[in-house]
Amino acid sequence: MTPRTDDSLLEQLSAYLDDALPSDERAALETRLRTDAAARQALVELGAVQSILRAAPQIVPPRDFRLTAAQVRRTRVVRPARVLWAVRGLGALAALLILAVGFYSIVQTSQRAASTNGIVAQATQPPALAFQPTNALPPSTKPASLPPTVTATALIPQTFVAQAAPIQAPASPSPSLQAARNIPASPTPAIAAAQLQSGAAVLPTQQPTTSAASDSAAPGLSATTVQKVSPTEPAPQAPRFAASPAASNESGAPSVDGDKAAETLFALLLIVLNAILRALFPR
Amino acid sequence: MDETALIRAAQGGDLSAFNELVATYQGRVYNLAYRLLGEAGEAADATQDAFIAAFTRIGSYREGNFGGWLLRITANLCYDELRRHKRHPVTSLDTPQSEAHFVSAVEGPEQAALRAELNRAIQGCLDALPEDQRLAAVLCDIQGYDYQEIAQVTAAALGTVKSRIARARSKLRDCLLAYQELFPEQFRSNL
Repeated sequence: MTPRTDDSLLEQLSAYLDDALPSDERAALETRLRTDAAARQALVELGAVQSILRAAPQIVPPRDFRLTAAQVRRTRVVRPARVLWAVRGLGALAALLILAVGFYSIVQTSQRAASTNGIVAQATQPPALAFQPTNALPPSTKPASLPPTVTATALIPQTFVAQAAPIQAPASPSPSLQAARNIPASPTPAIAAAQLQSGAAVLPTQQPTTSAASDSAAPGLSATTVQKVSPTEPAPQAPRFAASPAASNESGAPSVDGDKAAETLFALLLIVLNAILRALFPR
Repeated sequence: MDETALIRAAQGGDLSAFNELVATYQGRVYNLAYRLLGEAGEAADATQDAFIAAFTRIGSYREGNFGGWLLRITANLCYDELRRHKRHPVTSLDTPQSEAHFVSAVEGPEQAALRAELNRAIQGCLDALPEDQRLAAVLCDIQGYDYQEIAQVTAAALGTVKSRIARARSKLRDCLLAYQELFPEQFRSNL
């Protein structure tokens, strides 16, 4: 027996015996074998092992292994291809269901956040007045004439224009707004009703600005404010964060939390959906 | 019917077609199980289980080497059995060892005894190998598969197969030295 051959030479010699070496490696090994006696001896020994194993007797199977109907009945034949597609289909349905539930949760979270804003804003004025229908307003409260460019904008928030006049809500948080932070946890029936109209409920805090936009004679009207109240935009939402930063920050805090929660939930849903789809469709 | 037609028929649930495949491959499957497990009775059980598993999963078989696919199922079942042995070792007193019967021409009792001894020596050295090297050595040197086929059966890269075979042969060389007197003259001088 020769001293232990290094691993790479051993692998080369073994592969050489099986005629599994690339031609360049084979040529290099044959060159080495001419001069390296130890390598030659190792090759002979490995060849002897190979020959002994090849001479190992084949074993006669002790019985016939053909299957009987009874053996097959015990094991139901599975058609993996069909099963696989069934599992994939179910998985895809589950993923869609998770996505749908996720979106529903996001919508619910956003609505809850929005209605929280509505409650805060609503608490600064009498609820009954805040949601008076536009057509029920006295004609005298409507602007007599509006500039053509502002008319369409002004028509959308008319309800709030009418509401704003008697209230004169301040641009910065008033003592009443500060008090609104301490409103009871359960809203009054009027406030609860207001929550159903979340779009309308958030707007009373914007009334001074909107009113100013519709009344061209009002002092302090900024161009920025007018631009933001566009006829093509959903008017009840757009000015909410633009008109009164101070009020927005106060009443908007729960909404920011809600948005963050919704974003986090949505990101988690995407991750889960991605993982499910990758598992179902590996390629 | 050729093998492809038999496989298609078996995939459709035709048991007699599958049994024709069993008849073709049962020698190779049983010999692999025997070399991996080292005991005739357990090898028979593993062979039966392998064919039942193959029939159950034949729907997942795709074009390729059907024999290699069968051997892969067999090897995996044998690995499971070996792991079960490690967890719950049994002694020879618990389960009597089954004797293997060799394929051979007519031979006298002395020759038969020598072959049995030789087989025991080879099997003892194979049993001492790590499982992956044992499988590679059996497939290559006893069953005669090439590296590519072994890579398919073992789900390993060609380089890994090459390395396992080389290491297995090196360890077998060291082990078989103890049994030199059992081997024919030409092998004794070379070990």
